[in-house]
Amino acid sequence: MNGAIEADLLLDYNTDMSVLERQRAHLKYLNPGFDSPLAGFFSDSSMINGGVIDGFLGTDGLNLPMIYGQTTVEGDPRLSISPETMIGTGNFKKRKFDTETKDCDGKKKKILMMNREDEVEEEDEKSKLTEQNNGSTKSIKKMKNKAKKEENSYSNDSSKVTIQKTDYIHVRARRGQATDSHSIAERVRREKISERMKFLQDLVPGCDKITGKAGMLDEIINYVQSLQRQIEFLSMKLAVVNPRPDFDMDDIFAKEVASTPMTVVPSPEMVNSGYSHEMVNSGYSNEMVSSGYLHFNPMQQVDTTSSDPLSSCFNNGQAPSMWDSHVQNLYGSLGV
Amino acid sequence: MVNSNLFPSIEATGGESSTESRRKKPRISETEAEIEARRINEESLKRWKTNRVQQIYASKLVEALRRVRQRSTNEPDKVVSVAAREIRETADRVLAASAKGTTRWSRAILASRVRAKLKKHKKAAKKSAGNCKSRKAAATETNRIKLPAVDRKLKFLGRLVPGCRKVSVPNLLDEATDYIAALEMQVRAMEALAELLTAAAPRTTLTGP
Repeated sequence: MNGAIEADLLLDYNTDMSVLERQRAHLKYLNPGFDSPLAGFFSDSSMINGGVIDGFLGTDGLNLPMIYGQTTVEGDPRLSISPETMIGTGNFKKRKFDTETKDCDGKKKKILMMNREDEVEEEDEKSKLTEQNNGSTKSIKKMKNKAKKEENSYSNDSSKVTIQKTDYIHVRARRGQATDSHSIAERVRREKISERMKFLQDLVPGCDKITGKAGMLDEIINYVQSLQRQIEFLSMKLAVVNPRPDFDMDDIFAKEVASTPMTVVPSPEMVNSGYSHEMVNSGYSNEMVSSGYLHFNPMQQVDTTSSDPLSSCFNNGQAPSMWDSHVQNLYGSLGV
Repeated sequence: MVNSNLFPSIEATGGESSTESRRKKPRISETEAEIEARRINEESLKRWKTNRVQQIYASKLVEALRRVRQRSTNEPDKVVSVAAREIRETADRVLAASAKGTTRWSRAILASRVRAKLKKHKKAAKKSAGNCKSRKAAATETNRIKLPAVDRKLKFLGRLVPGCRKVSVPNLLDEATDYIAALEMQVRAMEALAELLTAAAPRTTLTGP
């Protein structure tokens, strides 16, 4: 009977069942009395996928891990399994995934795993076994990772588990939601996107009242365009402000710091403090204009020698520090 | 030096994005990028607002603008628009440099200049323009039916953010977040600078005879 069923199985499923055969053989070898539950489950070929779980889980003496279909996760004793017993269960995962979820739809919480094939592939490269054995090591490592994950994340009720370094994302289906692998993947993707949209909502002003992705995207696009336009305008302004080639910014800042004798300037310190105060107030009063005037005259005089001594002044470190404090004050005043 | 370091990273990210369409490969890069993206998101709202960042940006901007101006003194006959474009590109580059290469748009900005130079040297500009046009025409002819509104807008957003045309949706939103924060900072810095300069500029010329 077993032979016939095996042939049946071979017809329906290709590699999975061959592994399953080997698994059965192994289990037979390990546990002579094991044949009966498996035979029972094999006899009903229609129940193959669903039966696999129930059959396995029904047998306590097997020390198999409870993966699917149960709300409770067994602790360590179940998870400490010899590798041979696990052969083939891993490969079932993908196929079992959908069918098992259909089975267990009624149950409250499921642990569904999204497998990372490439991570497994890495481990495959490490082990130089044949393909079948590779499958088994795949499954073993998946089991172990999953087991660890379950232990770690058992306390989480209906939330997504954080990502291990093995790059698994373990998601629990929440109550009353579809447990399809596809819909879960969809949900994960949607949550990712909505999380980022929330960040954008905080960033873009006036987006709080708008609901819906399209409207928010509109706002975001408008905002980015307006920012870029502002930058264009400001760069044009900066280009206009310095039409003369000898107009050097160093002048402005160095004049404040350098204590060059200027007839018009009452005292360098006063000018400096006046300037910085103006920056703090972020207003442009007469003092500011006068300081501009004051700077202007010496600038006319030191036209030709503008760059060199002033750049050296800059390099002294005095100017930059002044500039830094200016900027600090500026930004403080601008309400940042 | 910076650009040469950035090139391999750009190629790598380009490779990553192209393999994302395949089923098997992308998951690792996705999840690693996921952690990175979340970190970027949480940080970006703050990192472009700190005083220190603004100071760094402002000082770098000043330096760069000074250099640009010194260079432009050699060619005094520049139209305002050309000068404005130069200044804007400089400011963008400084902004991208202060992003320290963690974001895609910053890498794209820094690389675009080098790429433009290379193209100029190789005189491949005409060729690439021709290719682009033909590819575009073919694409629009096949995709006559308009994409849904959200997708259209996402595409447009991808065109706005430099270097993010073929980026996946969540990554695009990440990049957009960081880009917006950075742009805001840039606007503030340039505004302050412009005000400083216009205030300190020779008033006599502005206020009359």
